Amino acid sequence: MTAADYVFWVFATATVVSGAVVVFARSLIYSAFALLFTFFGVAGLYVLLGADFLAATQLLIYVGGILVLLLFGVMLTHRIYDLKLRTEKTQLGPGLIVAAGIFIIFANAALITEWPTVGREPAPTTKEIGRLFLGEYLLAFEAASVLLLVALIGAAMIVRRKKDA
Amino acid sequence: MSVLNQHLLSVLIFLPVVGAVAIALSRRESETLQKILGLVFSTAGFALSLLLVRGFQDVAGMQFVERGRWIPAWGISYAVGVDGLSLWLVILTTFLTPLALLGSWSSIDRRVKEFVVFMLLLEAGMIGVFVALDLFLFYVFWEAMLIPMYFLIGIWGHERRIYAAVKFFLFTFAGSVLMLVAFLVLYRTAGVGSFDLAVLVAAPVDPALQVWLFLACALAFAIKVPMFPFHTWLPDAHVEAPTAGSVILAGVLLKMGGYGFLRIAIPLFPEAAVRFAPLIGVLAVIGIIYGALVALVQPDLKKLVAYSSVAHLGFVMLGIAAFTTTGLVGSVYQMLNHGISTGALFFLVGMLYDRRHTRLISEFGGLKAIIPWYTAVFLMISLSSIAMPGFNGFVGEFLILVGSWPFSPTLVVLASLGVILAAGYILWMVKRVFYGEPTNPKNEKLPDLSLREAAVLVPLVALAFFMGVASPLFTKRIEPAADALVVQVQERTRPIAAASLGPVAPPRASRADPAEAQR
Amino acid sequence: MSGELDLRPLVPAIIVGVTGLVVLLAQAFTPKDRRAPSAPLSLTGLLAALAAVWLLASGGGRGAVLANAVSADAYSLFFQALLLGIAAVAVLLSPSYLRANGLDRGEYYALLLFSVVGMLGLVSSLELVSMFVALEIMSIALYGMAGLYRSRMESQEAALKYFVTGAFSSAFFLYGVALLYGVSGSTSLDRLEWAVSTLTTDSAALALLGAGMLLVGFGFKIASVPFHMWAPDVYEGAPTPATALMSAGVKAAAFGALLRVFGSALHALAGEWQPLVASLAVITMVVGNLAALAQGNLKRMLAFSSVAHAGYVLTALVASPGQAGEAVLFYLVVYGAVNLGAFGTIAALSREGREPLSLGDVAGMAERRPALAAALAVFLVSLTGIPVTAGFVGKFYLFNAAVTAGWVGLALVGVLMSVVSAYYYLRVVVAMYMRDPLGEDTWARVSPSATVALALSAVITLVLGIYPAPVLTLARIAARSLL
Repeated sequence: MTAADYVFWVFATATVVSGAVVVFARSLIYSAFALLFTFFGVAGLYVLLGADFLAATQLLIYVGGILVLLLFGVMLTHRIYDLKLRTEKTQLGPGLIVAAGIFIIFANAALITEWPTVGREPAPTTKEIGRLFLGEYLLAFEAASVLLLVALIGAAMIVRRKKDA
Repeated sequence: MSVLNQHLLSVLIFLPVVGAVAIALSRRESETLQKILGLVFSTAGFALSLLLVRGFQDVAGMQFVERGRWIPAWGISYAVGVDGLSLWLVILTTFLTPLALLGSWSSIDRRVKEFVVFMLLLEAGMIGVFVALDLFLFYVFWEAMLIPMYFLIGIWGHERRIYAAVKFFLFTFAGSVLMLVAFLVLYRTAGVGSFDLAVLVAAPVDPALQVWLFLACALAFAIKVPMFPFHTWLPDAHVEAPTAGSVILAGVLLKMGGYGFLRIAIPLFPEAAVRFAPLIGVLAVIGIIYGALVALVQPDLKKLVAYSSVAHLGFVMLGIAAFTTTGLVGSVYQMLNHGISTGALFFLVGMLYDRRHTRLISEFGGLKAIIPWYTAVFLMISLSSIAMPGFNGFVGEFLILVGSWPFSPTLVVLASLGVILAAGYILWMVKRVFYGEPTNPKNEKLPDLSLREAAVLVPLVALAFFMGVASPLFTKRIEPAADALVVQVQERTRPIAAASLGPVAPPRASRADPAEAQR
Repeated sequence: MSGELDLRPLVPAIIVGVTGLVVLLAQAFTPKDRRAPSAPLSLTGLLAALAAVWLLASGGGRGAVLANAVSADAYSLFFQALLLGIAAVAVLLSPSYLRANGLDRGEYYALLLFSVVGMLGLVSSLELVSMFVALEIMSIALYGMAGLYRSRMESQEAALKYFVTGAFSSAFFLYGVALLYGVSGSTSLDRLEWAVSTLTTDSAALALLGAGMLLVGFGFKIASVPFHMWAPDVYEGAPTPATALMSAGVKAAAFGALLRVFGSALHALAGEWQPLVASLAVITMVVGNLAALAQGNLKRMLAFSSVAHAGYVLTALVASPGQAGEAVLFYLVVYGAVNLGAFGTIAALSREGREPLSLGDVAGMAERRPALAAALAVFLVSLTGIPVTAGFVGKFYLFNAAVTAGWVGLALVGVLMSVVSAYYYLRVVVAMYMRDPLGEDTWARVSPSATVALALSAVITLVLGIYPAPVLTLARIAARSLL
């Protein structure tokens, strides 16, 4: 194993374990903090894949933005902060079987596939991403703005005060 | 006139539809107007349908044929025509509809507009079934007609009408959807890209597949007939339906089952039909005896008539199973007879019900003295129903029994037993209802037939009598078509050897063989 | 990449989107005591977009543009016309319903229009990322619409449930896109088609997994079993015109995209995904119909019926390519008209926050409201698939496609389940026609715009049942453009 492999395993373990904590923790605040490590782990994986821009964005937006927002939300909302969560385990058996089955199928598929590998030096990807956004994926890029607008309207409508209730 | 002749069948189908639309647009309150309009449109249809008889040639093959493009993408055309098998059934439909409307003039007193509309739509659907020459078109009419009948039973029926209506609908719908799949499979395997009946008949189907397709179609038709053991919907539907509904149901709808065998199932799947003929014959005779025995013990007049239908249609199916020209002519004839005699019986029972609001035989007795005209008509129709010589029923059952002798003497003997039983249950019922002393004081003031009721019954009695003495007028038009069908099926089902040795081009395989041997 | 920017294929979507903005602005600039003309504006926009589709269909601008991301081929145009029509009918149904339930707000129309933008994009995308964004635009707008009733628990539950399952399904969809990207190195359907047809057996596993994930994602949107759990709750809780739009429009758009991906791009793998889709079709038909039997609430019954109908459509999808495309296209038109009509009837009667939901509510309707009862009866008969309604021709087409492709068993399950469905559809007809009315008729008078909507749906249902040939031809042309 190369150094990169060790690093991969570190990041992968961190992602999965902290992900599990997010799900299983009894307290919302623990979950939120565990999420921090999940995001970090994923960002690390991006770095290993040579996706520098994506890794940076992951850190900036998810860790720096969304997670902080989440923590503020949790901490400022008194009742949620104290709330003990119970994760219900309904249908544990069937769930485990299905999950294990899916895992085996995916792992198997991942192993037998001949992945095309790009044997090139890590290079900044920002230029390429920018080119794609304004070229091949222009439509999706522009349409995303409509998506955001719709989300805004929807959110505004849902949170606004009932005037006729 | 020739333009009318060219489109006569379409006119017959769509005239009632036009009438229904016109009535649907009328004001709700003008009930008399609606009744009159319904009568006018249906009588006009009957008058026009007589033109069919006038222009009909006594030969095999379709006449008054009309073809139009409909859904060219699937090879579906609007194709209609009549031959000897369907001619009289069309007339029967146009004949019974105005009578049914007239017969329910006063007994239908609510939602008259809808009633007349549904009756006319029903008529259109029934005529459509009898004249359709395209499987898709046939199926459309076959199912479309369910809806008005369903409403007729469900809205204007008696106490358990909803149960009966839903049962009727689900039974027949379940039967017919399998037929639809059979049509689709046939369409695919025949590979002629057409739903035209004649084209599909000409495209032979593998006998192994035929079995399944035949069974699917036969189920649909057997439920409609209804053949034992698919008859359980019939007593419910008949008993709960209003008089007009029972008349049309017994008079015309049940005929579609037998007609379906003759027009669809047998020509399309002859090998399978021949294979299953013994089974159909046996079930038919079981139906005859079973229907008669159950009718014997019915306390309710309408139920009695309903079960007698099961027995009568057993005869029809026996004639079809025998598959001789005589048997087929008898079957078609018997379908007409049953339409007239059972239709009339349902009218009569309905009239009695209108007066007394009961149909229990035990409630009556000695009616002969109170309502003599009614009794006379009832007696004549009963004689027609039990196949008394001189009446129409005799001709039909006689032809069927004679025609079925080569098929199976045993079945014919057993079926004759059914004739005797029929005499038993009908005459016993007549004795209990009309003879003896008037026992029930409620019956003392019963009015005899009104003019309107007489107008409904007289044509039926006259026809029952006329068809008994002048049967050749009718049979000579049925015979060529029946004969052609028998010949067609025999040619198809003759042993394969005969066909391949014949002078027709030798099978392609034998020509290809030497070439392959050389290789 | 060419220098010019050809936006013609996007014009209908742009018109609808701009209309959405105009509706929002009109709302903002209308004085408090007046009602904003949201519905007329929306209708105008939709009709203008329809005109644009017509111009596109008759003129040029059919090629793929924006780096092959979107095109205005006959297939897209067919769906766009259908979706705009559905949306227009939904708009016609809305004003009276919203007023009757105290929900009359401009945002509703804006969200409706934006969801249509998403639908239009979904059916015309030739590239998976754009398709995903379009799917999300459609979905997010609908989440908002589902939760429009601020004061009703069911509505809030509907919105949340729809959102959670929707997000879940989006994740599946994205994962599928990622796996297919791994196979082909591109998200373009053209490239995908080429890559899939030249696959080695080893990488076929990956492609299949990707296809499976996409199928799950679409499965949620079309409400096929086992991804249907949200449908009854959401259909019940959402405002009824929105439900009509969901059941008719979302299904049409999702099937449009599904058919494009599976019938066209992934058809090289057909041998592998067909059994999967076939089994989905069977359980969807069986579960949908049996569950519908048990429903007492009309909206829930129609929701399960809409699940069942997804199953019918899937049977034809199995037969793809072949006749499947045409059959699916035609059926979606029929289904759209019929479902708009059925939900529309419920919506049209809504008054003071109540709508007829039980059999007792519609009992005896044939005597009080003969025309409305007749219309609903036509829709229900059509859902059952009985001639002379469009439902029969549609089912005939679907099952014919299945039989032609050799899947006779699927057709058998389909017709037998239609018999089962007859029972629960007819139960409503029984109530309307054969039972006596209960209590007073307290339902609303049907507003003129709703009358237009219902009449339109009924006429389409009957006309397509009697003379389907023109629409069949259009569906055929559209489906052929996919091959």
